[in-house]
Amino acid sequence: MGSQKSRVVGFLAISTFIVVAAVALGLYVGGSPSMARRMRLDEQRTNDLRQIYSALEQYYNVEARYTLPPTLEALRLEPTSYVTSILDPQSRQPYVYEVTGLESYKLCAMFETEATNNSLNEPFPVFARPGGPLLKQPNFSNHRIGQNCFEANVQEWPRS
Amino acid sequence: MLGLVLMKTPSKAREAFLYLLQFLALYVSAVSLGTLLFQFVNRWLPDGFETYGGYDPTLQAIRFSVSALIVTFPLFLWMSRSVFQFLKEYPDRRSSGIRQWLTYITLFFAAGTIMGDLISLVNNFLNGELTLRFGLKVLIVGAIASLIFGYYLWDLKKAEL
Repeated sequence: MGSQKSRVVGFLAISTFIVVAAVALGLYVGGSPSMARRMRLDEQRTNDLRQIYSALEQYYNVEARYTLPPTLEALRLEPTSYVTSILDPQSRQPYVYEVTGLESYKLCAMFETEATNNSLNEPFPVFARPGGPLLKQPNFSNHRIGQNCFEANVQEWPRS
Repeated sequence: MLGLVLMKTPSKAREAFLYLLQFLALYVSAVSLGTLLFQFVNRWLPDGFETYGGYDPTLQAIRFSVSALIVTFPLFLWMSRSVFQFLKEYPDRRSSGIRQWLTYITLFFAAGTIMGDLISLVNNFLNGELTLRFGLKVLIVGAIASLIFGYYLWDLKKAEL
């Protein structure tokens, strides 16, 4: 009976040891709740910038207009563009958008976490049109803490 | 006095409650532990697919399985203690129907898991896709299922002695 009890205790002790170690490591890797929240906010910012990037390309090409919108508000009001939010999820201030040329612009956002080695997230360059120049989406998921600006450009789609 | 002690039988419903809750907590704990260990493997041996899109799904999975373990594993320990005390009070219930059924069902699930684990091991080996990343996952599933299988098989044999 004594050895039976020790076997029960042994099974429970081994499993407790494994679970406690795994949970401790999980809590360490998972980071603090406030860090998790900041990372989620930054993910939201990254997604917003990606969406704005795509919408700008759409805006530029729709009805062969070939101009960039003057403001993000104009982009948002455009019926053909799909933009969920042009406001920072935390500060509720609009993202910074600046037209820097006929086909180029700058998008900026305030990030709260550092993510500088997301090389795996590097977007694949795409050809704007067959035989045309390579068009590359900026890597919005790579950012430092603070204001981050991304230079990007739009290009004419091939006409069918 | 002796007659009273012999007539003392526990309620079947209470017994069923103890075992159902113990095994539910065991299943959720085992699956969560496996998920958590899988994520550690995913993070430390990345295959280049999971972080595409700037979003790290392993962190979400780690937090979820940690939450599940924090709730269910202490419950499993507590229920094991309750069952232990219950069996001390009513030693003849060691071979009760509900206990045997749930133990055999657990053995069935654990054996099925080990079976699927071995099939995927052989399949990956034949496909030439045996990587350290995959091997560690097979080891994790095999270890958790074997630990549970081994323990409950021994528990059952003890009752049948």
